[in-house]
Order: sequence, then structure tokens, then C-alpha cells
Amino acid sequence: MNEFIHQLSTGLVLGCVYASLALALVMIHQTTGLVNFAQGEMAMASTYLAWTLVAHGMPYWPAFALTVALSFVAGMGIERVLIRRFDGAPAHAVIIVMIGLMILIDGLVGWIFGYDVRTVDSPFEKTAWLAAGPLSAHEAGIGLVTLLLMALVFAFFRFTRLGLAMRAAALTPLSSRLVGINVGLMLALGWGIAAAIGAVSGMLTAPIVYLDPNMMLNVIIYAFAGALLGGITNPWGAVVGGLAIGVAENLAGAYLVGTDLKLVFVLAVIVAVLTIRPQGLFGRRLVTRV
Amino acid sequence: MSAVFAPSGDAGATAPQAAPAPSPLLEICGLQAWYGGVQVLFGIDLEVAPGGITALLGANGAGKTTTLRAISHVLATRRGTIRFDGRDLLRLAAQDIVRLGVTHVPDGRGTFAQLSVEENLQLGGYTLRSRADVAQRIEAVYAMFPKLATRRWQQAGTLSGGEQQMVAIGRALMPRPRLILLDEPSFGLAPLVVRDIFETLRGIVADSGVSVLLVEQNVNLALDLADRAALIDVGRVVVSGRAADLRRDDTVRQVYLGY
Amino acid sequence: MTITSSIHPDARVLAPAAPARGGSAALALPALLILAGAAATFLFSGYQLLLAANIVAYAIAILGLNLLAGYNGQISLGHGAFLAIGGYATAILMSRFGVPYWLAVPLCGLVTMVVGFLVAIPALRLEMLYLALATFALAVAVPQLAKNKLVSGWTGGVDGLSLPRIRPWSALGLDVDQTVYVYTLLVAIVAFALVVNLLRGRVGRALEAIRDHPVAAETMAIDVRFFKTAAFGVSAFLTGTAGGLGAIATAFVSPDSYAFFLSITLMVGAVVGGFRSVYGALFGGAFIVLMPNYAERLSQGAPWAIYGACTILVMLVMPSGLAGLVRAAIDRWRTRAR
Repeated sequence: MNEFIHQLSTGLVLGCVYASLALALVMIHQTTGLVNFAQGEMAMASTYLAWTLVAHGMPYWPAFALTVALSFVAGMGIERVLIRRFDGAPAHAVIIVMIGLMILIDGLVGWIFGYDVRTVDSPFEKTAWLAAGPLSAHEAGIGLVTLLLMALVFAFFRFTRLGLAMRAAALTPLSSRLVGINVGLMLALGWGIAAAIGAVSGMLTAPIVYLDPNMMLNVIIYAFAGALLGGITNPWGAVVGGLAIGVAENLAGAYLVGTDLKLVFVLAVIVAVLTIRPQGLFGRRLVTRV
Repeated sequence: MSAVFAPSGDAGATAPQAAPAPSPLLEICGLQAWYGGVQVLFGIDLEVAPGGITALLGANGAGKTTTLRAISHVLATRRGTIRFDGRDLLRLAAQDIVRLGVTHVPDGRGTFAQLSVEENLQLGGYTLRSRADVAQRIEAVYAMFPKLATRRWQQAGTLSGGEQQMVAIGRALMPRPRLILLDEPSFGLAPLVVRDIFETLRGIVADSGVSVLLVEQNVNLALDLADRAALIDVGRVVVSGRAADLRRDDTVRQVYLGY
Repeated sequence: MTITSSIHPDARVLAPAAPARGGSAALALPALLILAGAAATFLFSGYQLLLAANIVAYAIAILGLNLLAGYNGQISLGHGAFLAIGGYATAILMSRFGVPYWLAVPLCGLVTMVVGFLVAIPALRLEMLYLALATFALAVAVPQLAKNKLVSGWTGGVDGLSLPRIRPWSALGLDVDQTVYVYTLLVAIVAFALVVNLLRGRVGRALEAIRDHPVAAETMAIDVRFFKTAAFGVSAFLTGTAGGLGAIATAFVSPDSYAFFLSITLMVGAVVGGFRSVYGALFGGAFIVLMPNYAERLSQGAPWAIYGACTILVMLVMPSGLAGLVRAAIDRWRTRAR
């Protein structure tokens, strides 16, 4: 029983990692209609930035804040300079560009920092009181931050004018212009906020999966699966999906298929969701007019 | 070049000669417009006086919708002059034109189908400063269209055509515009519903003094509702004047209006 | 902002290679390439021939990807899976069942084709973005599949499989490396000829109609399901065959040979070479084999950075890739020659 609880809690913690990246995916999808294949690598690059700042003597939380801010700006910049040019291009074009971006970032970080795996200290070690039951301080910290992020994103879209405007800009750009929304700015903000969320996700994940240029590769796959399972139109759906994937992956790995088939399991989930119910458990089906 | 009916000297209601004609709210001179490489407008000259309804008539493809889009700048390539209240609109981005006081109900209504009626109206009030103001205007819109109030939280795409048109017009009214561009409000609606909406529109114009530039294919309805009218043919204004006059004129009726 | 599958303003640039203008001119380019390829047998040796064989093999793989993603619009980020199936099938056929290589390679192509048809069943129902996601996941899962205990009896698990060495065509005076290269070249000639022929007529037009206007294509009595499935199958056949060729060149397969990034590399090669061009596959193959050779000296990450940068650049400024550049240069040379 203890073993099961341990697996469950580890699964939940991993699920939070996936969920936090899934939130970034949801943000970009809700505001631009795209699934950002490069989200993981962008998060990884942000994490390296934070690590560099800390290595140069900056205390953790200021480095965290600065990284989030810089990632926000970088995200906006990428949308404005690169992604915007493919507005109206055939569907495959922007997907290829995002893939290109993904490997460009991966290669650049590898070039600059090398591919050695580094260990990173958790910021929550100082706050050992967070530890609760089977969860260590860091794991509890991840859980809290993820829940906080989810609440913020949900509230943003539901209750703020800007959130509504960003959703509208993605749904019907023409009508959005006609009510006075600066659609271009909304798109850039979407990417910026997503990059910021990704930065948080990466910085939380690093102490667990260790810091190396490929650290987010597995995470992004689980994040995709979680976002698809929960519904990519829905912040809390994506979180639930991420948690579910984390738990399922862990339990399946421990009791069913063995740890070395976890990725295959995830693949099966993704294909199943996409063929049976593409909008996920809680998402909304968007019907396109022919 | 537009042929304008001589307004004064006719029998019928004309303003006493001492009062000067009010300067036009919207002035368009020599407007040319392109969709990509294709030119659609070849020199539109049009004036919309403050207060009242001006109708823009013409066959399919004549350039009516394009004219409206050119005004609100959701169309990229334009040349010529568009002046609203003396301000040059050509230099302004779409969102700034809204802030000046010009709102546009596009053809097909342009409602945010996946959002609720309330959210549609909130978006209409995007340029308003305070939440309280937005809330107040929403109540005002519900007062004009009581039917919508019962469907506040319903997804706009699930409403009937007439109700969606109400949402669209309501949304355009939110920021207290001085001029509303209204593109084919009767499209796809049953005649009774259209009559209803037009009645409400007439009331709104009378109460709030907002001006309306109305594009309509249904000539009868338009001339019935409007004070003035202009007729577009192949990207140019060919006839303009008082709606009543256009209705009566035989040549205009036969050649351009087909009856 | 929602992505619409409308034709890009530069559609004429993205249009496929114009049907070969008749007569001798049409055969000139292929003949030239074949001659150059044949000459390479004797100009290079050893490691260089291995590289050359790799280039040709990857060209076939990218041709398969181009067919599916470029001509038919079904984007695949997981084509490495087909390479893996082809490679492992060849290895198993040769080492377990003693099948000679010249038979094993086409057979593995067929095996992969069957898998391609199976994959097509769910794939047909997915729109572009979801297909990309699903194939992305496939690419990530492939190495794990190969390592898994259930099949490692066949696949050799983590350690991989060695292939028996090929017997050289000493009758023609060729050593092992040359034999591998010539065999690869012959397969490539057949494959390319097959595809060029396929794309030239009705089939090519049907595929492109499905890519550009799927709904309209259906109303024009084009059996969309048939063509999309067939595209998957043929694409898998080509890439699987390439996998087999790669396997006999290196005489070894392992899960690490087919890591996730391989699928991305294929896509990069297809795009940079020329997404909707048959000859683009050749340029793409050369690019993905040769560039890392040099870039790796800079850093382990350099090839990836360059892949990424080139992909983005190509999409931004020359969507028809290297093939388009070459075509433009030829056109300009032709007009100047007049």
C-alpha cells in the first residue's frame, strides 16, 4: 500500500510538471490557434538562463523573476518577428517553422553550454516545512506553484478583459479589430505569457530531471498528451490531463508495462485521444466551416 | 463622378435657407480600393450627414461592403480621402478608428460565435475606460433589445439569425459610437424579423442621434428606412440624394433598381 | 488566429517541378545524375563511399517523406519509424533467416509498406496539426519500442543487431564498399524513376488536389481515402527500403540509430532540399549527411543549430528549397543562353 501511495504521489508530482508545461501550450493555443512544438525547448533555454544567473551569484528568486520577465519578452519577440510572417500561410508551414525553432534552440544551447548533465538545487530546500507526507519540500513546492499557475491562467481568461480580448482575437480576428482590439499585440502577448509559463515550468522541472539541453524532450511529449487528454482549449482541463498522464504513466510503468514502455504508452494515449475524441475530456469541439 | 439631385427648390420639406447645411460627419472623396491585386473601388464620393440613416445601394459585387471595410480599415490597400469629423481616417489603424467613434457591423454579423451574448457585448465595450461604464452600456443594450437579456449567457452561435443580428448591432452600440456602419442586416432573415430590427434601429437613431451608414440589397426596405441614399455601380457612386427622391424617380428605379 | 489551408500567395513558387519538357532535354538531368553517381564509384573509396551511400539512401527516405508530406500534404514528423522498421527488418531477415541482402532490402520495403497502410488507418482521420502531433509522439516512442524486452529477442534489445557482411561483386572488380554503394545507387534509380512516373500523370495531380483542396477533391470523384492510404504505403515503402540500405551500409542497427531526432532530420532534409520536388530529395540527402560532417567540429550542438536555422530561413525566403534555387539558376542560364 505504501508503495502504491508512493507511486501515486510521484505520479502526481510528475503530473504537475507536465501540467505546468501543458498550461503554456494551452495559452498559445487559446490565443493563436497554434500548438507550439518548440515550447519545451524554449522552457529549457529559459532554465539555462536562470541557471547562468544563479551561477554568477544572483540569488534564486530574483533570478527566477528576471528569467520569467526575459522569457516573456523573448516569447513576444519570436511571435512578432518569426511566427507572424506565417499568418495565412499553408497549415504545414508554421509547423515546420516551429520544429526548426525547436532544434535551433536545442542546438544553440548545446553549442553554448555543452551536453553535460548538471544537477540543480531546488529552491524549496530552504523551506523544508513544505514537505507533507510522502512529498518532499520540492515536490510540494511544484504542486503549489502548478496549482497557482492554473488558477492564474484560468482567472485571466475568465475574468479579465485582456483575457477575453485575447481569446476573441484568436477566434475571430476580423471582428476583434472591429471592436478595437489590437490583434497583433494579442498574438504577441499570448506567446510572451506562454514563454513565461514555460520558464516557470522548466525551472521547477530542472531539479528533478536534471539540467541538460534535452531535458524537456520527454516532458513535452507528456505535456502534449496531457493537454490533448484534458482538452487543449481549457486551462484546468490541461492540468487535469497532465496530472492524469503523470499518474497513469507512473502506475502503468510500475505495475503494467514496465518503465521502458512508458513512451509507447503515451503514444497510445495520444493516438487514442486524437482519433476518438480530439477535443479531449473537457475541451470544446471547434467546428470549422467548409 | 456622381450625379446629385438638386435638393433645394423642390416641393417638399427643405430646411429654411437661413440655416447652413451641417458639415458632413463622414466625407469620402475619390476612394479607390484593392483586394490583393484586384481593384474594386474606382473612386467613391460619398457624404454622410450627422444624424439619420444613409443607405448605400447597389448590385452584388458593386463595392458596397468594400466601401465599409475601407472606412473601418479592415482592408489593406486604399487610396483617396476618408474624413470623419474632419479627421483623416486613412492614417489610422482599425482599433483607433473605433476609438474615434466609428463602429462596424460586418456582413455575416461577425458575432463571436463561441462566446456568450454577454461576452460579445463586453468585447463591444473593449475601448471603454471603466468596468462600470461597460456594465452600464450592456444594460442599455439589453433595454433596446429585451430579447437578448433572456439569453445573456447563451453561446452566441446558437442564437437565431435575428437574435445574432441584435447581438451584432448591440455590440456596435456599446462604445457610444457617432457612426455605425451596418452591412446587410437583412441578410438571411425572415421579413418580420427584419422589420422588427429596422424599427428598433429607427428608434435608436432617433433617441441617441447616432448616424448610420447602411448597406442593403433589399432596396425597398433601405429606402423606406433611410433619409438619404447613394447607389454604387462597379465601384463608383452613380446616383445620390434624398431617399424619398430616389424612390420616386422612374429612371433610377428602372435602370438601377430594376422595377 | 486560426490556420487556414488556403494557398500561400507564393503558390507558384511552391508548385511542383513543371512536367518535364519533352524529348531529350527531359532525360538530360537524370542521365547526368546517374553518370555522376556511377563515376563516384571509382572516384571515392572507403569512408567517402560510405558517406555517398548514406546520401543516396537518405535521398530515397526523403523522397518517401516528400511524397507523403510535400505532394500529398500529410505531414509526418515520425518517418524515422519507417527507417527503423526497414533497418531492423533487413537485419532480422539477413541475420536470422539468412536472406541475401539484395532480396532482404526490397522485402523490408514491403514489410514497411504494410505498416504504412496500418498507420494510415488512424492517420487519415487526423487533420494536419494532429497528424503532426501523433507522428511526433511516434518518433519519440520508436527507440523504446526497439529496446523493449518483449521484442528484444528479435531486435537484440539495447545492444542492437549486427548484419552479416555483404559479399562484394568481385566479378565486376568492386570491393565491399563499392558494392554497397552501387547497389544503393541502383535501388535509388529504380525508386526515383518509379516516383517520377507516378507523379507525372493523374496520380500526381490527384495527390496535390487532395493536399490543396481536400473537400473539392472529394467532389471531383477523387477517392481521397484511397490516394491518401496509397501515399502512406508508397512513402513507407520508400523510406523502409532506405532503412534497409542504411542498415547494410553500416552493417549494424541499434535503437540509438533511430532516435527521435532522426525523424526531425528527415523533415529538415525534405524542407531544405525542396519540399515539393523529386530532385529536392537528393539535395536534402546531401545536406543532412554532409553538413553535420563539418559542423560537428564546431560543437555537438552546431549541426542542430544549423538545421534549425536553415529550416527557418528556407521557409522564410526560399520555400522551394535548394531544388528551387537550382531550378531558378537553370532557368536564368537558359534565358541568357538564348
